Amino acid sequence: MEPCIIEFIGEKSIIGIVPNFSFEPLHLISGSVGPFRAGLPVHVPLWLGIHLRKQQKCRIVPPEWMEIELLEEIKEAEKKSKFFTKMPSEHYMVEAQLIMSTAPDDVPKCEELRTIIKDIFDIREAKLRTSIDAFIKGEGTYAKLDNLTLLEMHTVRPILPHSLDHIARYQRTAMATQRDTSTLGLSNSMNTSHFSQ
Amino acid sequence: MSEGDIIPPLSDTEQNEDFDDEVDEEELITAQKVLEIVETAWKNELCAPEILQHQTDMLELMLGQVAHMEENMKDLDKNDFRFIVHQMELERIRYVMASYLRCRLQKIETYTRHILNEEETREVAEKRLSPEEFKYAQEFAENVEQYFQQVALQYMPNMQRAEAEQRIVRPNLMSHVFIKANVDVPSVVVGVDDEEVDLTAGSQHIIPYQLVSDLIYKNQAQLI
Repeated sequence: MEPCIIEFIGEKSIIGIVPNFSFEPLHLISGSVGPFRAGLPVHVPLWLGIHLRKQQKCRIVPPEWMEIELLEEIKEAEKKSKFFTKMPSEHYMVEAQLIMSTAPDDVPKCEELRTIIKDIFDIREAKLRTSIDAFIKGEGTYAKLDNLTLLEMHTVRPILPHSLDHIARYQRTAMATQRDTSTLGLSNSMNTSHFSQ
Repeated sequence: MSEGDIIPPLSDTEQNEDFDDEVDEEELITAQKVLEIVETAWKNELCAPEILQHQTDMLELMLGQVAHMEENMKDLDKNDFRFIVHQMELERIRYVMASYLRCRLQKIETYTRHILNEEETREVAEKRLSPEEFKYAQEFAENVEQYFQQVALQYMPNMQRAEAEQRIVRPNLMSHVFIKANVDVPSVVVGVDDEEVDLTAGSQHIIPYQLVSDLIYKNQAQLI
């Protein structure tokens, strides 16, 4: 999956906008949106919100979680927890990036928010790298990745699955070699444990 | 312009257990639902190492819906708000469908022989390729074979000619994938040493594809 596909998927998230025009509801294939009433907030998919904002037809209501205090709390929790904490939005990076680059004026304290969201992302990335290191050294083939968002997964793709595939391949070859040597009646000193060091 | 959002009854949707509990609308499926199915199929296809079940029925319904929407839009002014928004949505849907089909074609071109051999052993109801894809795969295989023959194989000693078997490219089914469980799935084998784990709905995992391919098929989990 390419980063643009992840953004594409993230663009389906719902955000609030305040339109400056009025219009009857639109019945899109993916669901109805509207009615639009000038000055009244309405929920739309992110892709539509961004488009309307670019046309100067609305103001974006920042998602509830785009708020300094809440994000500070999340950041602290993320630092303390051994595991990944649940993010307020499955596509928080995509949403932040799209909203803040299209409509910095609609988000109060945009720059501060940007920094803190990036901080959270960095903490999570660091945590992800450490756990991958432990995971690979532990020779696992399976891991639970709860609360990891799609974009974060993507930062270790394809390198993580590929390395696991390679390790699995070595293990299978080692096992096959072991079987061959033992059937030939050779000594079992060609043990696979030598390779794992 | 929206009354076409409900699509007439379908015959081949029993695969989707979601519909079983809709007593009144058992036979009806909304365009929104079709789109969801197509999008899930698209994401699964992008992430899976092998080619998955074709979704021709759903794609055709979606294409019909897109055509229907375009028909409705014909009389609208190009600068009409409705026209622009619907147009944008249709572009997104077309992208998903094109990307899905392109991804399948890439797999067909890479694993041609392997896929064709597998198809031969499958029952009609279990075919992974749509009839069009099957035709494409066959012609592709023939052309490649002929090309190899003309440019290289015919000049080689007999020894090396008959090794078609060795040229078969197979997907690595044990490659690791990311999955998300849609429902609770008890005791899934997650390792070579028969280790078992219960997947809870909404949980995410990295795991060798082959161990969960049946969950994907049954829509109990999806690739992400």
